[in-house]
Amino acid sequence: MAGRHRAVRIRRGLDLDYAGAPLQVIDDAVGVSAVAVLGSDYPDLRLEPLVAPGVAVKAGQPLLRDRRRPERLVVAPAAGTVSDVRRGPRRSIEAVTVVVGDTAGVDFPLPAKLDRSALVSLLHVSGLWAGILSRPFGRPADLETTPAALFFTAMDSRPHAADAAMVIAEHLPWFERGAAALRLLTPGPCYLCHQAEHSPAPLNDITPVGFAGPHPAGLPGTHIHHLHPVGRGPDVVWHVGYADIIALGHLLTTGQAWTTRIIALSGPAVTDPVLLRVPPGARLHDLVAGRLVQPAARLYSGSALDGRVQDYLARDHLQVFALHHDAPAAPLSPLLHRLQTWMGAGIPALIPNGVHERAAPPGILPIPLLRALSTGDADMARQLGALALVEEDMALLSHVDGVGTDYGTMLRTVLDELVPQS
Amino acid sequence: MIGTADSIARREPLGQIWGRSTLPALLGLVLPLISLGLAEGAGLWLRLAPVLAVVLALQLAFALLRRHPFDLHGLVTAVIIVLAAPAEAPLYQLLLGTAFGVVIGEQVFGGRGRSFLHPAVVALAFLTFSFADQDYRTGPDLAAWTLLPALVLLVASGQAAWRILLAAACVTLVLQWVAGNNAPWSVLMPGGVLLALLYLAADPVASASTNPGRWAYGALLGLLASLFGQVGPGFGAMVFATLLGAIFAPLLDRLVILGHGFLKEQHHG
Repeated sequence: MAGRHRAVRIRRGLDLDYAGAPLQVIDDAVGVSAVAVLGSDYPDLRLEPLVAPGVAVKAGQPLLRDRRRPERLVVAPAAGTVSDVRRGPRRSIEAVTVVVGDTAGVDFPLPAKLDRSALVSLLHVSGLWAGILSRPFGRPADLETTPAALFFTAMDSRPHAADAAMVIAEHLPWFERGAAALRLLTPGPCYLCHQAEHSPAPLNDITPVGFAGPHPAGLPGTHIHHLHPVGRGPDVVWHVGYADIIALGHLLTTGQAWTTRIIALSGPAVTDPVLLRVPPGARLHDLVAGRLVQPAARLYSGSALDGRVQDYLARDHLQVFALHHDAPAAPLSPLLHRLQTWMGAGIPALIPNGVHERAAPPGILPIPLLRALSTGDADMARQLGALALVEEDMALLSHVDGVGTDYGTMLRTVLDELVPQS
Repeated sequence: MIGTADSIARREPLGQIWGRSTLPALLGLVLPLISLGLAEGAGLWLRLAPVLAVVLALQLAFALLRRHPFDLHGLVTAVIIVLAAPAEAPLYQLLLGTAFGVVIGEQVFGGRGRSFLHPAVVALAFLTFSFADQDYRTGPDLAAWTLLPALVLLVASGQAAWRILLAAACVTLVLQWVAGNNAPWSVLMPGGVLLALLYLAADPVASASTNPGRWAYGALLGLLASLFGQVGPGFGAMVFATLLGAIFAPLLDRLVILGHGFLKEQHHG
């Protein structure tokens, strides 16, 4: 298989055109005052803190630990002082905030000979395990098991994404080293999914597959559908994003955590949309300082399609999207307001339209699936292929549906119901 | 998903902007209304006003009782009922039929998007069965070109699936040709038939909702309309074909889902 080049053309899909597309040039002049590790990046995990506020930490030093799987550590994205360990409901961890100080990093002991078990323990202690996600369900993979196939996502088709090919080219030795190491995780096939127009350098025993076409051509869900579909059989596949591959290569080369991510800052509220070199989990307000059209802006971690309003960059997000914060509308008269609240209680009904087929993830009958999701019919959703999907695959459908129904959340509710009870 | 970001993407697909809107459907009805209004005079508008009032009042009552949003699609229902009913039909029949259609055909299921029949179809079927003294099956006397804006608007906004329209038209033409009709397109040309096909048969809510299902549903419509057309006017044939077709649409979708699942299993195996 190695060396044989494959290409897949996505015909359906939609490239949405938002104002403020980023210039594909990296701007290094960013001062970040604080970084955070967010509990929302580790859903379904019971995390316990290993540090207290006031403690000085190095980049790569463990901050949190998974209670159920103590070998899984979450590490500091940058060196500094822990300023806050914020707890959420039921003793969950909402965020651990670090005020950025010096640049010291933990020296990870590198194995003399890298085999699978050494790699797995390195992934666990360096926090990189969280970047290896498994399908079905899209949760961090259990690294003790072996996947049927492994996908390297070396592209991003979300609106305003950074050009993955450029970022990879800049860090090519690390990317290649990381990819070669991750290859140890499975004896099964391993695919490097890249943009069709950029042919990457060949890697040993990794099949490059070019994807062309509009979003969702760059989503791992699309790649998995075309190369190794899951959800109807027992197979589990894993996928890793290019940033985590580079981070692993950096770790293997230097022995230190990669404290940089190249992210795209874009949106109509930004004066000069551009790529930024920032630490993971960076505080969003620091990234946009001096770059906003007007001071009132709403900052999303993630793209215009699947972003969330929050203060810090999420672990898996390589984009920050900024919108103007409009002044709140004039309040309605009390009677009208009561009427609006009264009649707006339910979920708006689904009106099928040709655009649903265009925005649907590949291999999915959109209207039956959306109906099954909105009624919470888990069995029907499974029959319709819901197990092959995660939230990001539904983002385009939620967008074109146009009434604010978030099918991603509904899908997660159904997926949680379908998780096998062990 | 970002609510406000939705409003700022610069080029959106038409189906997203107009897919849920009542505007394309209403605009498409302007020309038929004017054309019929010129032919009939003030009587048309005098019938339209009370029918509209009944539809909107019922919709508002159900929206308040069931706590769901109020939409303006009732306007389309009212206009279609008024267009379809004969000029000499008594007003009480119209109002009774309208109320029956809106309540039993749509609102009891939770409003538009949750029902499986078009309320105007239910209303017309009710009127045809209940009041045999009036001719509810002939439909409006409209020129085909008055429906041209509706065709463009509904297809471009994605509200009427072109697959349904194409399948229905093709099957009808083939059946007419087989039956020895030298001008098979003449059965599709009356404006009333086009009105029923565009607004009732291809209604996105009451028709099949998968692409293979849409082809099958369109073909079924063509078959039933041709069959019923043997013994009655084309408009009534299309309305009753829609009534039956809409009842079969969920079954067609179910078959598509089963077939789709089977093909996927094969692909995986």
